[in-house]
Amino acid sequence: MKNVTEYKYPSNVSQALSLFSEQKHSTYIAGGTHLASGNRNNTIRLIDITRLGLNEIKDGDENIEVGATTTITDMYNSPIVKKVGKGVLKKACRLIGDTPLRNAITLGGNIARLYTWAGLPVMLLTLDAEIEIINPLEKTYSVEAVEHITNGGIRDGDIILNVKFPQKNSWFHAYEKFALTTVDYTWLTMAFAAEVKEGQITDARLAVSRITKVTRITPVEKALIGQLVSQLDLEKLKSLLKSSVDIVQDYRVSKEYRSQLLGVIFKRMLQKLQEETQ
Amino acid sequence: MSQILHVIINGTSKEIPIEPDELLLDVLRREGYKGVKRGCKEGTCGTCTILLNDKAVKSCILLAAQAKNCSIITIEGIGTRDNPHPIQQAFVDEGVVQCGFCIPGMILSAKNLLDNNPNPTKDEVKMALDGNLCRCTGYSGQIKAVLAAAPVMRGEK
Repeated sequence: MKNVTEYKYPSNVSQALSLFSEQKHSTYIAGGTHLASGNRNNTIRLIDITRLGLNEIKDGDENIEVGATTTITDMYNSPIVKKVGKGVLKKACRLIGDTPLRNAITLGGNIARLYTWAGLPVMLLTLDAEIEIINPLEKTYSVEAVEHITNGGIRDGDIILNVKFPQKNSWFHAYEKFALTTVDYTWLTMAFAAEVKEGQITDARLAVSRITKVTRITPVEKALIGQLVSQLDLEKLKSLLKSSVDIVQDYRVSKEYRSQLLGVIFKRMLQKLQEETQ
Repeated sequence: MSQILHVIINGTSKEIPIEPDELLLDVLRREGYKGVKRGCKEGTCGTCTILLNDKAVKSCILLAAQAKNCSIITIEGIGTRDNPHPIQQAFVDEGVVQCGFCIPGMILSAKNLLDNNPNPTKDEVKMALDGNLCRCTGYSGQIKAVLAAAPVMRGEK
């Protein structure tokens, strides 16, 4: 951040986009927890987007809409957010950082750049969230979570306006973050969701991060669909998951350990699914 | 200095010259608020915790410019040696301070909790203090002190 010479406070989205268009070496800032300690040395102008009114949480008929600059604390405390996925989104918020960090980190900041240690990108995938974005030409567009992840996150100059989460309360949901302590950086983040009708899995989502880039594990999802929950071959599914994930290097812990961890956490999620559907 | 930061610190309105890339921690210490400690400087240890618009945040990973027109409370703003805040008094009474470096941040995190939740559970206290590391004493004493301060702040003792 050594080249930053300007800090701007737009009061609406249109102003923020204009400020970005004027200076190509601009970066938007909201919670700023990663930015302040980072090395974005080409940034000359910082544009503060916390005063644009993008922090509302709305309860709709089909979706819960959360504004991009809503803090993780406000999401965690919201009775509306608690309704998403039978509380799974609230649980994911609880496991992000610690209290002072959650008071600063925003939803948009957590999902914009797809950092592998971020807690919410996997939630976007298993909840089938939709992200509303505005580009510098002031064109608003929506992307599904899968597309957002495939695109590698937000494009420079675009601003996330909000995220729409379907409630998906008829689904089973699970979310786990494995770390040395509650507040430590994650070793593995995993989210799983399954739709079960008359004891049979009719649809499934499985997403992981940190152990690899943020991604859905579609071979496992396909293998689950059509199976009876009571007759799941847990060991076979565990092996399929382990062979479907290309584990990245982490200086803190071996690939073998994390591969084992991946299988154990997924097996526990499947066991919980079996318990809940019996 | 290239811009002026308008901010209220411990109830006093201030206009402070800052650079746009300066950390809030550095600006507060330069202004004399030395109770805001510099620890890890990467948002982990919590010893730089302050209240920004009544919410606990880590000032080492926030830019000073982010605090424009905000209210800041540092440890200097909540009690004195002769008239300590109930949380400070509880920390003394429970004997939970050893080296003391983490204590300003921890007390402000506790204040953030008790101002919003006057009757917290032990788990809620643990959650409120989860961003403040103590390497001397463990945490049981501090948790006990926060629980002891709660009824005093509610006016029951």
